[in-house]
Amino acid sequence: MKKVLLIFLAFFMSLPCLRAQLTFYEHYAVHDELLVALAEGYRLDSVTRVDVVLIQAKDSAAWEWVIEEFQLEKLNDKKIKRLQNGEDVRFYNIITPQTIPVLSEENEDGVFIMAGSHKERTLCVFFTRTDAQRNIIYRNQVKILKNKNR
Amino acid sequence: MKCNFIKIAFLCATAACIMTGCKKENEVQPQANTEECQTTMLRYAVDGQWHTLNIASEQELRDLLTSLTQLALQGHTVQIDQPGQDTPSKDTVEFETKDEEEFIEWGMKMAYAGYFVTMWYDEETDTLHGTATKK
Repeated sequence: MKKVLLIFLAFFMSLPCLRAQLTFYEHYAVHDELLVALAEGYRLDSVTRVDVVLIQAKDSAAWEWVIEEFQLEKLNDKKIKRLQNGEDVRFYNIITPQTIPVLSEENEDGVFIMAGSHKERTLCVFFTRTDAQRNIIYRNQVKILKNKNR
Repeated sequence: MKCNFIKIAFLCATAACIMTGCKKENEVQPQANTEECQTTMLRYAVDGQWHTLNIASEQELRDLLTSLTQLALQGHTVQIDQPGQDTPSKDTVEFETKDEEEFIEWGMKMAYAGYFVTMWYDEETDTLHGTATKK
């Protein structure tokens, strides 16, 4: 009985945390030109997990829309040339919920990470709570960048 | 006669001074000992490609500036920057290194300072490149 109560308690305690992720996911999942997925407890390494919403644009027009929507850096000619040569250009950004309208409405706290790839037209929004999570995400971005080119 | 003697002595002293090189007090002389020589690190970019150079003398700086001016006149984009500032004050900061750990450290520092970090990897030179842009 005690165990059941504890599970219920843990479930209800986790609800407010998940609400922002779900709102965010549902807000963008309705867009036909985007592929959107929510992964709860995505494994960053053997001990670190984090919730993440993955957004992939189906075409370049949709990616342009994502760049505008999330205020991603507009690429200069040099970086565009790299993409045209088949190389990847990745990005990493620490943001507050206020940066994204749908999250600011939720009054969500915490620090989010926007990371992804211009080549793959992919944006991941990680819902982080600790510096350790943020550091691993950045480290992984660099490792992916090097490995993909090899 | 006495007057002529003074004139000759003065001329000889002047000639000796010219031949040996007159050393005035407080004049900055080039350092012969390279260990004592002060160097300044300077970063410069040609068409967005950044390089770092240790400048050991005014002549080296002049030579570099002459070369960069020539390149600029030929239509290349030239930028000069002095690195080593912990808190970046510019809108865009570029960085390149072959050392993965150094690159991770730089990127995290910039991200926490509120910069948007973009990165790419040059396979040919095995170099990681990063651009940090102020949001």
